[in-house]
Amino acid sequence: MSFEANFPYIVCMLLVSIGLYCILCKKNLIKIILGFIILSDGVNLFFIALGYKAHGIPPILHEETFQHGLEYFYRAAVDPLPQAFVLTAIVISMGVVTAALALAVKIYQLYGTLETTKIRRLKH
Amino acid sequence: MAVGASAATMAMSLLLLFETLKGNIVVHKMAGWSAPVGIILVVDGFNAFIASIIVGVVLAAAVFSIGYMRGEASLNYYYALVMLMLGGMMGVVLTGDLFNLFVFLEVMSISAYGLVAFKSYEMEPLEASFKYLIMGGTATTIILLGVALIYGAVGTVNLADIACRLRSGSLLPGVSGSLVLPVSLALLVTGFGLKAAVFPLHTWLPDAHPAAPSPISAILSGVTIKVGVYALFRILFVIPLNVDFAFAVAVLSVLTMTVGNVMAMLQTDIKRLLAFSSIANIGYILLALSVGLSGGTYGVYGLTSGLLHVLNHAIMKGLLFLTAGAIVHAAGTRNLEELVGIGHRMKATAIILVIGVLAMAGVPPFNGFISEFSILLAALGAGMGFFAALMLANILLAFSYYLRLLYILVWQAPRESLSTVRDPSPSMILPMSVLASLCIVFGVWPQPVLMLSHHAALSLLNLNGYIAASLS
Repeated sequence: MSFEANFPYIVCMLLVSIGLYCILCKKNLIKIILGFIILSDGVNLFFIALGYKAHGIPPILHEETFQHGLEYFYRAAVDPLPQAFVLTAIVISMGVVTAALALAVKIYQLYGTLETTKIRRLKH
Repeated sequence: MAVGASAATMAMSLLLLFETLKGNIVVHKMAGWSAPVGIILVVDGFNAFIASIIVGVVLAAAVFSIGYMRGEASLNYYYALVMLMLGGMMGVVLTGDLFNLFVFLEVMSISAYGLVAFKSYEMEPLEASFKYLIMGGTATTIILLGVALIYGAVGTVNLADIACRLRSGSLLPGVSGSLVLPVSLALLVTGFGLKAAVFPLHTWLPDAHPAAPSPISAILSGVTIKVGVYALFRILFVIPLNVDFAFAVAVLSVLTMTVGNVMAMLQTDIKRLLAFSSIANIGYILLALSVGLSGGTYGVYGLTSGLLHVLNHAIMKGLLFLTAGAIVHAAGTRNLEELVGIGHRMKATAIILVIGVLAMAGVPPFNGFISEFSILLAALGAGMGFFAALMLANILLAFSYYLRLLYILVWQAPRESLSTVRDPSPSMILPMSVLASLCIVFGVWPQPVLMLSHHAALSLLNLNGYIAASLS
């Protein structure tokens, strides 16, 4: 496959790597959470890119569809499943991020700081 | 309420277990959509077995919570989260759809993060929960990436359909011969490996499990990590690649058990010691999985012993965490040096503790011996003598630190500061004594559970039946 065809996937993997880098290397809780958001958005974009078709039509059968024939519909209709998946995954990652932010607020109230180097009391 | 709900779930999963024991595979089509398009729940002997274990431990922990959590604020959230976690675990285990599995895994994980941080006025649970959340969230996102790659390569997320299409080689154009499938499998194994606390992804467990309230530690250590193990078993058998996983899994298992046991030796915190011992036991189960992956008659034997150890470890570790919870609840500290001789003050708890610790250490009349010994035999029979020797060394190591635990808690003369400590209330003693008697019963009469786990192993290997039942 050509570079143009692969371009969206490369961007997604770049986002995933940036997210992983932030989670692994950053020392601030908010930055870690941001890294997690970038990571999950990269994966979601990857899913969306899988289902993308240039000049696609919605995968819904109605009267106009029959004018062009079912074969055209089969070729042009986009795959609806990745979008359903991504919708679910977005809601889930929102839940996780909300929980993480709530914990970060609690930690800030107790410690007065968000730097992991200052709050890490747990034995490694 | 929560006890009633988990008892009802227990009854239903036992019904499912009996149904699958007849050799049937129960399929439920959610909302009436049939297999490759709709989401289905597929119950065969394997996941009915795991589901019954999960519900049993959650039921015991729910009964224990009545006494243990008395006096805590916002208990309605606590029980709601426990039920949500039970629902998530059952969903992961029963579903026949890879994306649905991811969704239920997140349901389970988010409620687990909430439960670990339940005592949100203390510092340790908050930090442990944050660490667990970031690592667990990254793991599930990696699993999602793996699911996306599989969908892109095969064009379906139904487990049976994936197996069917991979076997017939009908991949989407441009996929065959490329690295897509191995990479996606690697991503899935990484994600589920983190959930199962496999070395080097185990670092969240020794923080998260001790920080949670003790009944939750029992659920987390007893069954939640087993959900990751279940997913590893299922994925590695559903997605057949021409790669020899057995050796890699064996190396990982030996590393996992060694790290778990060595770190457990160094702990002075009773719940942290138990958490590290959970990591070691995941290592034993993985060794059984690797014997199972190498195939042959000993493969079935290895899977049987591994699944038996899943059951036994759930009972033993659930029991030990509940007992540790009772001790911590009474004494108000988790430090072993301050708990010296507490068994003299809590006689009933001490008897249960001795049973649990001896079972965990692999002493013959109890259930831990049966499964650990059969894993060793299976590994030897499959020609993995080197790994079997390492596992034997690990079991001896575990024996030594469990004896030390018993010596400190039960043998030594009690400290002055513990003179007012008494046994906990009957609602806490009851689930502990039920689990302890199961340790003895399954130790002296292991035939029924061996039969059950053998049936579970056979139905895990019966991929044809699984595909036929799911796609009909």
